[in-house]
Amino acid sequence: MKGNPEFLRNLWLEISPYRLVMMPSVIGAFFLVAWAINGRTVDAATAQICAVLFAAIVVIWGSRIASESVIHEINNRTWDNQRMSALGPWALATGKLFGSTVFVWYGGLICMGLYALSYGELIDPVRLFHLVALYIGSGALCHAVGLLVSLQAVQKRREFGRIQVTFYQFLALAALAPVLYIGVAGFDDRGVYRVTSWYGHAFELLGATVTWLYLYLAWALVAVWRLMRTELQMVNGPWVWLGFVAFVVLHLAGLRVLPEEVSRVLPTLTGSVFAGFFALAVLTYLVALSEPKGRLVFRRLRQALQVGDWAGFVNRLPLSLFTVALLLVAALILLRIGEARITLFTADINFRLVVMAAALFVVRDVAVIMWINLLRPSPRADGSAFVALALVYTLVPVALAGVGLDALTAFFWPRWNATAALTLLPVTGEVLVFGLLLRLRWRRAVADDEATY
Amino acid sequence: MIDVRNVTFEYPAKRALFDVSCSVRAGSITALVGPNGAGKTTLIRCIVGLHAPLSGTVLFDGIDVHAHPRACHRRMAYLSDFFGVYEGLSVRQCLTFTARACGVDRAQLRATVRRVAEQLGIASRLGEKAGALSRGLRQRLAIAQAIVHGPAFVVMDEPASGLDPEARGALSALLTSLRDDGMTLLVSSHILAELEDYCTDMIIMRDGRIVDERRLGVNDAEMRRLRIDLARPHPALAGALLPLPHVSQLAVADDERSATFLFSGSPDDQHALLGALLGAGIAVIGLREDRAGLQDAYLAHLRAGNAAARAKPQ
Repeated sequence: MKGNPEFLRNLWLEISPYRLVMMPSVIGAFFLVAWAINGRTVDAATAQICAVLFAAIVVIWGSRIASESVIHEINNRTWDNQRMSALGPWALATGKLFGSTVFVWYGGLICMGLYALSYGELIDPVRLFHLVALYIGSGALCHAVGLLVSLQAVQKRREFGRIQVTFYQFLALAALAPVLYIGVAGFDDRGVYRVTSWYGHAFELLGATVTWLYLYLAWALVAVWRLMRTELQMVNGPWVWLGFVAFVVLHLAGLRVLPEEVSRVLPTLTGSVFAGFFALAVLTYLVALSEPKGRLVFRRLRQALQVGDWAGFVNRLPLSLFTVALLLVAALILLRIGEARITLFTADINFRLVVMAAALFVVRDVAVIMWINLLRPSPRADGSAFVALALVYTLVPVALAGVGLDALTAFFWPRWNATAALTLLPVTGEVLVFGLLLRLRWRRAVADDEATY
Repeated sequence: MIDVRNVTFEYPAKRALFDVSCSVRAGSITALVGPNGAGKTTLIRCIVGLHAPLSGTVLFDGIDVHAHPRACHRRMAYLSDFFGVYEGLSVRQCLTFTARACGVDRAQLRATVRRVAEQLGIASRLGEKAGALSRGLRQRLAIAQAIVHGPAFVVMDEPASGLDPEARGALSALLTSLRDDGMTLLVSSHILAELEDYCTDMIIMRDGRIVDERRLGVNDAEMRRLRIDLARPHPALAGALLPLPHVSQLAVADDERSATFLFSGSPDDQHALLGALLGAGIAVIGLREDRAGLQDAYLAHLRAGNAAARAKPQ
């Protein structure tokens, strides 16, 4: 890392003798106050103070810095210099990620040192190691996601204000939601970490969480590297994304991440595939709402088709299309292996029809997102699509149900126990309509291009 | 050195370059001129690999810039019209970082930074923060950063904007010295008179297309445009000049006190021409290369373009 010019530049900017003195002084003052209030002893209470300081410095402040590291370069018009340098995507990714946050890590490591000192011999060394690793991994994941989200945003816009940076920081912090959930709900009544099961094998929750956390961190670093390649005009194929999708599906399918009641009523294999299906749906929305997919993408696809550049065509296809294809495969598997009907709470549910309808709704939504992007080529198109979908899934069906038009909610939600026709026909119709709208919009864009040029 | 082949580029809402083809000769200083919105900056960003065109290729010494951007960037430099510097770093740190990022050998770092700082006249400012520099000095620092790795090809987008006349003069001298050091330069600017001081080639753009690409008469040993100035009007100037060897395309000013003409002779021939004119009793007070070629050509294209636009049926 020392040989990384980008890291060195950040080191020059972030580290000064004044800051080197101030950070331990402030942390030390907080720790001393906590120690004094705690009866001049160090124990779990002072350790918690250190953990809170770590969260404030590394997680909250650090995620802000990481989120704005590239944006800062763009706003200050220095980003083109870096893009024109000989630095590779990996050097730029790691130099920015660890360089811009080097000062908060300086404070964070002091906090973790005092945290370990506070716990001392109060807890098992392995558990202490896991806890410290969890904090450090959480901070690093937060930073990586912050940089990742901002780099993804850079694909669509080149002007940023504080609101955008705050939003990216919020998304970075949201990436820690599973860790926070485990931190809050991962204990049993005796305060001992629960045991988790992955494909039937039992693991202690804390150790398993740390392992998964670092694996997701590795994927986040790969994603940052991949987006940095895009910024350097290098072409990426879909393979890294597909690898990540496979990883997430395998992880969540093994854990059978489903509401407890659903998990209980589904057989093991069906439950795992259903968890994978759910993960694929979430990933489809994430990538569909974040990747560039405006006219330029489709023009490049058309260009690649016209010259017979099949590799270029595949490399430029929106990743949401690959993901939604995998989702349909998972749906077909569920149709094959799933129960025809299940009873959830007291409701009798036509499981296969619901799965099919859910898959079709995702297909419809991807078409809607693309249609809005073609209709309104603007960095805000995805925001508009998100709001439109949020309304379609919440206010509209609730309003329809409120006025007694339950049957019409089949256009907005998979119905649990309706007939096949009532469950599938509305959403199939919507898929066809939005597919047609997308096609018309694209033909109109092509006609406009041909008339103009 | 640079070969742009059928490049088309599109922004989401409009096409900015239409099947553009042009080239930049090794060892030249090429002026890229055109009105606002002509597509100069977009073309420049495609050439240096910062924009990926919809179609077409850009070759840098035979290497496809968009297929191998990093290999090309090692030997290229680009100074944006709205450049930035790391204001929190010292001038020395800015140059050291850029040199390292551009692959300058670590053993050569200190000497390289010193050399380029001296070349740009900022050696005495190495310890100062970049944010504390004046606009002119920041410009010099930005150029120093661009050339610190000794690129073969340097692209500058409106490098003179915002500079005072003295700084512009220094910039002209600097660009000429870079060319003399073996670099090839592509410079976009609106200030044509200034480009004429040092440019050897010109590319004119309009509405996303190349409308003219030519070598300028300056420094062309085979054909130069000369301008003669007289102390007083001479009605028989045309009659005296045209019969002389190597003279063609004569244009006499209305006041008959000056004229321009193409001259294909050597400096000795030019000396003989001067002697002949003086011998004929013509009060010559100046005989020099006429450097109004770039502006004339540009304005002629501009007028032609406007006339075409007016003639276009609505």
